[in-house]
Amino acid sequence: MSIHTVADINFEIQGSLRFMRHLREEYASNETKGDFIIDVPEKFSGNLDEEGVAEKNDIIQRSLARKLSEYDAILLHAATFDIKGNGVAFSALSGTGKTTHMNLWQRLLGDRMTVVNGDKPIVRFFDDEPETPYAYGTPWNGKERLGCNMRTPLKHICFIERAKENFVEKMDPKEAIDRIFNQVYMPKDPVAVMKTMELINRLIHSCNLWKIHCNMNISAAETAYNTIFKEK
Amino acid sequence: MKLKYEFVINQVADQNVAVPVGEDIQNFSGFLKMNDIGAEILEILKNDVTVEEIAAEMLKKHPDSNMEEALETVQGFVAQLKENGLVE
Repeated sequence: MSIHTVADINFEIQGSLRFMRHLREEYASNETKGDFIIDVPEKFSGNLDEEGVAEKNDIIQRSLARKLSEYDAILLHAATFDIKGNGVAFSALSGTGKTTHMNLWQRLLGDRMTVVNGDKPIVRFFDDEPETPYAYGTPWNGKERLGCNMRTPLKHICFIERAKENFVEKMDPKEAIDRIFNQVYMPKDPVAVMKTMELINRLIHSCNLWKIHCNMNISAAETAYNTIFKEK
Repeated sequence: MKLKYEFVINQVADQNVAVPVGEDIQNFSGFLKMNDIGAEILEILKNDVTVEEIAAEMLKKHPDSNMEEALETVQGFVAQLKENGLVE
């Protein structure tokens, strides 16, 4: 039994954490008790091939994701980073290049930018700051393994679309429904689904929403960054 | 005909969004956006009904409409549900 903290949620894992280095080390908790237990089946305790590791990872991720709505939180599929206290999430269909585009921003901004999570951050609300969604690092940070155990107040959600010319459009919440629903883990329990939808609604009303049309040159990052952060 | 799954409907950005729930959902893992009329039809489809019965029920809710219009609306909406394998 080991205790872990992800997105300020404490939980226990029953079973082996072999091949789960991030969870074992970066998300190990000082707490003595978790709020709930995640069971990792015995068959995942021995040697595993790549597929087995992925399956084990999925089981833990889904078990946590199912509990998130109880903590006013959702699992978002997005590359997420911090620029001096401003959280930015890049969302896109797989293969569109959100990681590539995030890497361009990193080249542009250097150490002014910190990657929170390259693939699946948790976004969580708190009662004392009802309009501030916090994006947290998680152990599920994509094949490039980009990210760390930190949080940032999420200010901008950007939907990335490939284009020849670089330009940025502001979106309203209604326009973003399809895109955001496709990128949020949806639980199966009706109460949790209802809550997750409420949280999505809060999220798209709390953040600036952008559609970034971009190619894969550094000028794409310059155009998008200058528009979103209104720099001349 | 009736809905195959239970749906949870909530307002997101002033739109009705319906998400099917339950462990047995295999063919549809997404969501449906609909206007208030669609949400009303979905509610009626919790019971086993025919298109004509739905249209008659809708006519009671919207007496300004007529049967022809109601049938057309219901048929269009039900066709979308069928396409996604959500009614049986």
